[in-house]
Amino acid sequence: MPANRKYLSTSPLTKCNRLTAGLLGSFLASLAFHLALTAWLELDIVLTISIFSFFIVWIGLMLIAYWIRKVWQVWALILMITLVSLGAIYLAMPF
Amino acid sequence: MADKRDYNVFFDTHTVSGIVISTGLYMIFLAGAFALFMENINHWEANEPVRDAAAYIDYDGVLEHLEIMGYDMHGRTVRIRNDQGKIQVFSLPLTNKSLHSNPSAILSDSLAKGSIRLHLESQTFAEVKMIPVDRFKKLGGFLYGLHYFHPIPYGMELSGIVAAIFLFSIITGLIIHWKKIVSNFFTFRLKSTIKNLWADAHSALGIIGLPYQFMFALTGAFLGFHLIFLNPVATMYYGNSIHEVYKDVFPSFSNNKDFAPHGHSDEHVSVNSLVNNTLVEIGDRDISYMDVVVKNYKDENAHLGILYTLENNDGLLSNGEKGYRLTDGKKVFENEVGRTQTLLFGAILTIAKLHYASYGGYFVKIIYFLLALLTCFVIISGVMVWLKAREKNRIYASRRKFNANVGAIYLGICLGLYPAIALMFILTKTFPMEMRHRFDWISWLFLAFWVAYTIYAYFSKNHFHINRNALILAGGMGILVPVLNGFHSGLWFWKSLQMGYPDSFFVDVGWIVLGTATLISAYYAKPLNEKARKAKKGIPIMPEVETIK
Repeated sequence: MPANRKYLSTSPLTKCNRLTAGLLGSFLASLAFHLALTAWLELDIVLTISIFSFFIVWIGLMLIAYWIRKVWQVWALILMITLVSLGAIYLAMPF
Repeated sequence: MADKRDYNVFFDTHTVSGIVISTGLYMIFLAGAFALFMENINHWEANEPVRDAAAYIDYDGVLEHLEIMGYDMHGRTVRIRNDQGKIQVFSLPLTNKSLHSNPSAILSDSLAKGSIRLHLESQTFAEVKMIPVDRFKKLGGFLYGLHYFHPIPYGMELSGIVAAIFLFSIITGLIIHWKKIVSNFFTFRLKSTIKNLWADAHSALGIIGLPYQFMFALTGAFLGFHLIFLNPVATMYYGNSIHEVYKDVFPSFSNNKDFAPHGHSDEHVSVNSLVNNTLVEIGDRDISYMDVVVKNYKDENAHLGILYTLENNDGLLSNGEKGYRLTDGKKVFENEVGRTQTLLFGAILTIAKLHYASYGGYFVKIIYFLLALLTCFVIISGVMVWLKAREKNRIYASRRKFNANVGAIYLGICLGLYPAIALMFILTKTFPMEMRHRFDWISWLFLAFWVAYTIYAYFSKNHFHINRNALILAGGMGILVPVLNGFHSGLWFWKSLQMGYPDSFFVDVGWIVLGTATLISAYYAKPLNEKARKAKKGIPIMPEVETIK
């Protein structure tokens, strides 16, 4: 009944890397994404939705981090979301 | 699940995340189930009669009385509300020492500028000594604090993380059961192997409780861990102040620059008249709760915030808030039920109401209580699946002893909590109210019992005994609770309702029902020994059902 070890990664380094991407990386991506939404749309509306969706997006990205087979692809996705969001925030700022 | 790899990966993440949070989550759900009735338990403990909610409060009189008592009132933010027919006054210490001080102050300077925590009689303003003041030093409040790990540092944030990981476990669990969700729902192989019994219980009850658990994971994650999201938002869009965010949600409790003191001023509009204005605007709808906050009293920039909850006719959205400037009585902010309510105000209150079950009376609370117990069972059965799957598996042979130890400790912590809570109820009705450090003794004995039960479980390792003994202890003590309450306070459950003590009646009867049910299930609990069952009934053990086709 326990999951078949054949399909799981065995190297501790990969495991650790994936866990970091899943917990921390997806947290940062979710945070950057919601801050970018807040920068462009009306604050009250975005915050209202964010207090629910922030956690859902975080956990959803964590799932995707385990679903994608290669860890570097996970990091690429997370960095892409984060950087695009940061760019959007930069464009919206009045400086 | 199309792919064997995906299935196994999600299965493994479900197992690992579930095992990591299991005991913490069990604590959250069991303590939380009791904490739903926090107010009732507090009243039961203190033998308080029916609440007098409609008592009239003379707010101006209270504020003047505080000045007469010698407190330095200038620039104070004072919160006044009705607490069981008494007036509860609360204020933080003054931070700005340069403000004009009260010339008639008879208290020493540090006391006059210090915090205020008082209970006053509603007519005479005579001080009422109410012990204990700390909300976590009452039984209901303690269970509520335990529910989000309040006794340990950063407990609230930790419970928020546990809730977020719980969300992950729920979704991975749903993914691995997705294909067989319908057939699993109708499968309960009671007569098959023990492993199948636990697995069926885990998936069928998990699916039944899924919407409820999802709601709690999400609202719990927000309530415990919201600062990790709101702090960056405040830094970026609110000028680095979380108080600016609070101003958008609850202006009455905000401390932002709009509410900074300007300078001393004696003239102000009567608080009573503004409260009356609010009552007139609310009209004929009944109010179940009202909180009045006076900000910067005796200042040019004095404000008044009024928060109210309507009587439960409007379901989820029944909270409102109004704010006035005290110099001229102008209305400055308003969150009126169903009309000018801001979205964020409504959303956060919705989260709170869903989480605390405060929207539908006792019926909803009892359903929440039962569903919380069901979730506790899902957690325990998950741990049992984890243990049983490893007990006879050759791959885990080298770690068999370690797994057995972990399993025994987990079961000890989880199952020991229920009798420990029952013991707390007994101790509150054994120790006299006047005893010094009464609640410290109670909470330390609670912890000692809980730790002792875990140690017993570690040495016993017999799952059946750990479970049955916990049930017998909890059931026995639960039945004793109303008896001890009767001897302690004279409020026997057959007459407390007529005498006007509904909370006393409710908690006593609740424990009779709960204790009886616990003892009955302890009586019917039988050791789930595979060989014994097989030999006795002659049932062949079913072949293992392949999970992946």
